[in-house]
Amino acid sequence: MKIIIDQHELEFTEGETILQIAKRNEIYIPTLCNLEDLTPYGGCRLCIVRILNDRKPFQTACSTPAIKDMEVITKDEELQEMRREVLQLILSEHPSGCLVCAHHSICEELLKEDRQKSGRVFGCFSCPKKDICELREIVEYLGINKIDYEFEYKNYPLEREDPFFDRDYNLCILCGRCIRVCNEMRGIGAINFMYRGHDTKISTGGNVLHIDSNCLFCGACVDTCPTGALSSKNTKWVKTKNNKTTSICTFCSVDCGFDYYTLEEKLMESIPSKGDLVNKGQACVIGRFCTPHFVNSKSRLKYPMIRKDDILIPCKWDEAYETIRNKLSLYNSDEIALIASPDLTNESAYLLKKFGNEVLSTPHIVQATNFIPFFTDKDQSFNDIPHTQWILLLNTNIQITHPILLIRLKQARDNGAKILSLNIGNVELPYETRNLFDIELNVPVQDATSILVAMLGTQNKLLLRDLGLKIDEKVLERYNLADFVEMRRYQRGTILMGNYVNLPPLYMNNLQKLIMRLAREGESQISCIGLWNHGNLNGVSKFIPQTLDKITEKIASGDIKAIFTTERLSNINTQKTELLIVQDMFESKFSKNADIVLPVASPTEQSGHVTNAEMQNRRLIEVAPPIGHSKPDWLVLTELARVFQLTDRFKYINSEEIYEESLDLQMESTDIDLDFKDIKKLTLEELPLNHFTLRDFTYRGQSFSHLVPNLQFLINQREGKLEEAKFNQVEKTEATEFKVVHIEEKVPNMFKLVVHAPLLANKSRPGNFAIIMTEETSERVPITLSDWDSEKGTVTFFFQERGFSTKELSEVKSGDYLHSVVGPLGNPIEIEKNKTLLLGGGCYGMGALYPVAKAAKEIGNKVIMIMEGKSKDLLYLQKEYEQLVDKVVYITSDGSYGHKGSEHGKIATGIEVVAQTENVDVAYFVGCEMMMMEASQMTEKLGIPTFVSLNTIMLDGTGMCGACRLTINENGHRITKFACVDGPVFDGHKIDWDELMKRGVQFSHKEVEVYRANACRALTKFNLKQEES
Amino acid sequence: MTEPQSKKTTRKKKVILPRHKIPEQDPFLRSKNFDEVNLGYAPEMAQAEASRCLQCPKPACREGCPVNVDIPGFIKLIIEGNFIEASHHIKETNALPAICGRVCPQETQCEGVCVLGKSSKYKPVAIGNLERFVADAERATKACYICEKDPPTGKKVAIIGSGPAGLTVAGDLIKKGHEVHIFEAFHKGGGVLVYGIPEFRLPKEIVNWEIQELLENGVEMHYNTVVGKLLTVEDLKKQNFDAIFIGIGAGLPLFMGIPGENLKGVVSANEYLTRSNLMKSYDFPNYKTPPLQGKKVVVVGGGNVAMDSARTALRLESETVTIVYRRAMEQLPARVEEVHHAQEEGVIFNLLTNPVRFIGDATGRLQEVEVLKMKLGEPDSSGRARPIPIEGSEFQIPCDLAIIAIGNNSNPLLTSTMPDLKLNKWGNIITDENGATNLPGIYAGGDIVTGAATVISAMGEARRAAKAIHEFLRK
Repeated sequence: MKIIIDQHELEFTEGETILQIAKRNEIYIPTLCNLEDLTPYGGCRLCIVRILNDRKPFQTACSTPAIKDMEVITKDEELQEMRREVLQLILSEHPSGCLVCAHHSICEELLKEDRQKSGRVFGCFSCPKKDICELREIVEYLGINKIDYEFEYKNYPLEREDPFFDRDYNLCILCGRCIRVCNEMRGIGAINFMYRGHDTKISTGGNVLHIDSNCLFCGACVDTCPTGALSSKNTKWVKTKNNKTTSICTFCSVDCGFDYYTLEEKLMESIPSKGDLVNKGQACVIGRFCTPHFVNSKSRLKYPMIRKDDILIPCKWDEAYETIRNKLSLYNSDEIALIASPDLTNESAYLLKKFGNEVLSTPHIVQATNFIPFFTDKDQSFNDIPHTQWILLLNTNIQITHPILLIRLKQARDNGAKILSLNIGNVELPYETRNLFDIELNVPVQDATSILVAMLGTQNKLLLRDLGLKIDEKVLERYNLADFVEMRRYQRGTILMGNYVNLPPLYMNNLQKLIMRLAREGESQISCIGLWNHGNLNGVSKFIPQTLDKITEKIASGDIKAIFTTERLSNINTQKTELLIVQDMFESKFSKNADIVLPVASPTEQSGHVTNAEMQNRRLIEVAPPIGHSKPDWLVLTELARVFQLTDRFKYINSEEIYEESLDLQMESTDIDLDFKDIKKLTLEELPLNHFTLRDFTYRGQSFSHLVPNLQFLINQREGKLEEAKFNQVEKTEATEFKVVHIEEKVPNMFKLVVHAPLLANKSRPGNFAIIMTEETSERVPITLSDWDSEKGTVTFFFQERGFSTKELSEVKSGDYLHSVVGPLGNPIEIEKNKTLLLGGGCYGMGALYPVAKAAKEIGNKVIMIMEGKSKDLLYLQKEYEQLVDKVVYITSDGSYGHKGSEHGKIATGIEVVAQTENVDVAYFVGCEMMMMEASQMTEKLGIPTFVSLNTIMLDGTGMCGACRLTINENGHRITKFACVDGPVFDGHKIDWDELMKRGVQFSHKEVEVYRANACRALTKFNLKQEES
Repeated sequence: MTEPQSKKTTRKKKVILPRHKIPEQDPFLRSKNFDEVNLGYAPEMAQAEASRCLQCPKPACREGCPVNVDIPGFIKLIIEGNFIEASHHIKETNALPAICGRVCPQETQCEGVCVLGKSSKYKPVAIGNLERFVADAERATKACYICEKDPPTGKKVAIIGSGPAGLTVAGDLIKKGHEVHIFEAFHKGGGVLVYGIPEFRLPKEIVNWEIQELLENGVEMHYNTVVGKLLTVEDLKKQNFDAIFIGIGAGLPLFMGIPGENLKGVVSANEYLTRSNLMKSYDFPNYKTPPLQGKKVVVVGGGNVAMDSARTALRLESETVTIVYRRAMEQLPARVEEVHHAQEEGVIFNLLTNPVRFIGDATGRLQEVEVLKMKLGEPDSSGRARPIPIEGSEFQIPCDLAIIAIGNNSNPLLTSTMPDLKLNKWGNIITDENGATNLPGIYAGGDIVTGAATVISAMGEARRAAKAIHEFLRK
């Protein structure tokens, strides 16, 4: 069938929408609410197109199915005008001061490297989506530079208490993508529209925190949000557009595709790749949010270490290699064991095998699990799961081991599949998973076997007889499975087998064999996929098919004297081991007992291949260089082999060469030797079930939650342990000073703080500042004193939330105590009499200038005040100033109040306005550095003496550290001054502004780390307590 | 505990053992952590070392000590196994043994004049290590030492600054029955002991303990109080303080005045160390003050502060740390042990070089430092060989963090509010040998008087000032 879009004749298939056809053919139609794989919503109305010869000429392309010979126009002036109208309405509720600001391009240039770290976003300059804003793309496409509707700031509270991501619904345009992705794609439905009409807002049921809802923190909503309303704490404040590497996440055996973003060679963010066929742009909490925390953890091993005098001492690699060679050569080859982690890459596993064979000639090369998987058939695809008609989950808890597959299960269920979960022992599955099941069974071992035989053997009675097995009808009756067995007889099915509960290896092997044999030799099409708890068990087993249980006793008895292991051996008695060499990523109790510890690179720090549960070899690409002196396993083994004089056989320079070589040697899973007679009908009581320990992923024996406090928080909450944590909150010790009397958010991001500090209230003068520490662990932050009342003994500050420390301060409550308030620092402003003063304040400057205005009026000066802000919603203290000074001039970027700022900037516009009518003697400006610079430049042109008050980075504030240095150009000389003791007020015409602004942002990257480590306030408290105990 | 040996051995027959080296962390290991480098003596080791002391009837060591600690006396107590008493004995003259044992330059003081050391055969008794040992042994008991106080005199003393000088004066005067108040600008007490000296050299827990002990003994501490700003000396007088001691140290970092000094990445040692020590940024992001970190670090200067900065940089994950100093190894003003430790840990010494300019990139971040080779000339007024630049010998050292540790001037924050106070041309307060300034009742001591010097010399002056204050108050 054909359709004509913009005069192009295009093919389409039944059911496709106009938008889908256009997209496929690269014809751009703007849209904000549409998303591939989700049902059309038609919410934003921007994809409106003209349909020729139709009763209704204007229809939304996303929700209109194509009809044969339909003629569509996607872009003409009338359509664009309609779209502009729609977009303006959207923008009237989305802070868009920057989009329509005349000064936009200059500001953009000056602030391109850094993002203002304010709490509430009031323009693109502080928006987390600054680099990749879909809204802005459409604004540019439609060419909007003014908004006819009055902007309304909704003033919803910021939602930042949850782990991993923040929400600012003041930016939300109600496109509903997050709701649909959560509900339709993920099947969770944690969020929905709340309230009606104008008050509509996205929220969890009952408006609770996400952590108290059924949200799984997969981040799908964050990645689909077209605005900055939802933002990941990992990179909220950092530019990540550059330095992207597409690789895979190897922490479970699904191996999802990810786009990894780095900054200064450090992994910052991982976002699921849209184009990847395995996960299709979806992820779980581990892959999406925890990876950067995990791989950058402080407990990473960074140096090789050798035990000397019973202490592990860091050393150089060469020394470590030499020591290993010397020590290993003391042992016979059968006294040495090599143990492979099931998380190694294929290359490393292959090389470990080769190292064992050729260098050490040891027979003991094993992988660190107790069974060899051979369950998965070749070329099974996760993509087939949704099209299967029944699914049997055997010994799995996929929400913990393979969370991303929940999506496939949900799709299968939506397509009408029946799902049976069969677990051995008493396994408690999470609610979200259980929701998907038709039947959920927890059975003893012998029943499990009977059920499987009954289910799978119905068509193959001959085979059953060969094996000496019988169908036990009673079991089916007891568990009410007759329907399921019936259904299984005729239709396509999938069996997903896991090792969630640690069953005896012999039993696991027999189970695998039995199922595969029955599944293969039956008439139905049954796919078998193994979902093992380890990232690359399939891959490692191809090279090393021997298991650890074969040598456990030899280790315990001391027959094996030296162990070289790449995995922690938690359940093995190594007391008699004489030499223990451990290759690991993290410090652990196990590595503390080792004789030699070798640090290895994380999966994101190396290239290679892993084999996923579909038996596909997935390619891993190095995203960032290895941390410290760590190296990938294959490189360590290569270099070590060279020390053993085997340079010729180990001359690899990259993992690719090893991969080529290893392909020839992969073990093919040959026909299964079915020996089922050993099956032991163990009862549940006899089974060593240790599934209760598995709460999240482990990588090489290291559990994620131990290194990612946010994840720990989440798990504790889900397990109902958080109450305890809340109860354990650290009480602030009673202090006599610095009690917070009052705190309020005057306008977005701008806080008024009143603190009890009687001595300070007595001594403060206009121009002074104080240094505040919120808690014992806080930074020292200089803040201008705005008012003081010596009778009440209080001082008042106005501060803007512009980073972590001010965020922390903004979260104090009345009645709390601040750790420290030191002042009055800096020199007071000297104001002369009988002058006309011009004051100009932006952001915190409006508050900071108040005492100056008051003092100037007290001695009888004429005072003119300029107040500037992005929009009217950011102006405060208007009434106070109007009562106090002679004239107030207002300037806004969007023209929502007073004058609209020109392309020279708001403050320059204000000065021009004032200078037209007034003869100004002296001017004072307080605000951000850019504003003060622009003000100084303008007054220099007009010949007005100008002073500005600087707010630089400070530590002590008494001239002791010099962090606050700036350069003053005085008569052709460059003089260094300290803002804290020489200022904070300086002649604006003499400051080296360029240097000042560059110095001001020197720690902005560091601040990102603080934010992501401490953003969750409840969590901070929780951790403090934990450290103490 | 071993049998005390000295009782039986007479001085003539005494067998002198070699000096016991204090156990240290391995250099490579310790250069990655902030734990203390010296691990301290075990009791047996301490007793063995103590038994080396000749118990001279006229001890030179005691004279060599700026605060005249009865060194043979406390060593005798160690030999007898009375460690706690030994510590109390030191505290009669020196309130801060745990600190002095760690940071005093003993090689030029007590140990420098030890009779044993005079012989070429022997090394002096490790007095510093023994002092530290007894103080640590006492602290381990977790019982504060409450000193015997004279009856209350009704006099009030204000001490400005809680550094080594201030704490010493407080410790001495509280014993004499005066009411003592310390005013501290920071949120933590200890002055240079907490913001300057790194954790691995002097664990902050020790400073906190010593301050806690003073508080238990009745000293009152006023944190977050910048005298000169929040309170003036006039205000203190109005609050009926009878005497005032100024011990505010030398807190105004010197820069070189060369181009590029305000680039991002060029910092004073004060800022560098304050971030790491006082604000604990080495534990970032648990502590929120960002650390200054560089891959290639250059430290300019050769004093103790330069060594502290260089060794801190090693611990904050830098790849190379280079000390640039304009004179030669022999002229390095730092404590020998610190230079030795720095070398062991892998600090590179680029001696006889002097920075001439810092070069940055377009974003204003430091890229490299240009230095000039020097040679040594005739001694200058300080008695040290004068470094002379070698023309045309410029070369660049790549670096992304340069720490300027060339010293401190006195900070005028307080003195500028006291117009009648006599200062010398460097802004230091002029006092007599007892710490009395030209203003009655106002005393001063430590770096604000001498210019930047050592902890113990500040404490020595403080002792004399305390004595003078006590005399003054008795009148």
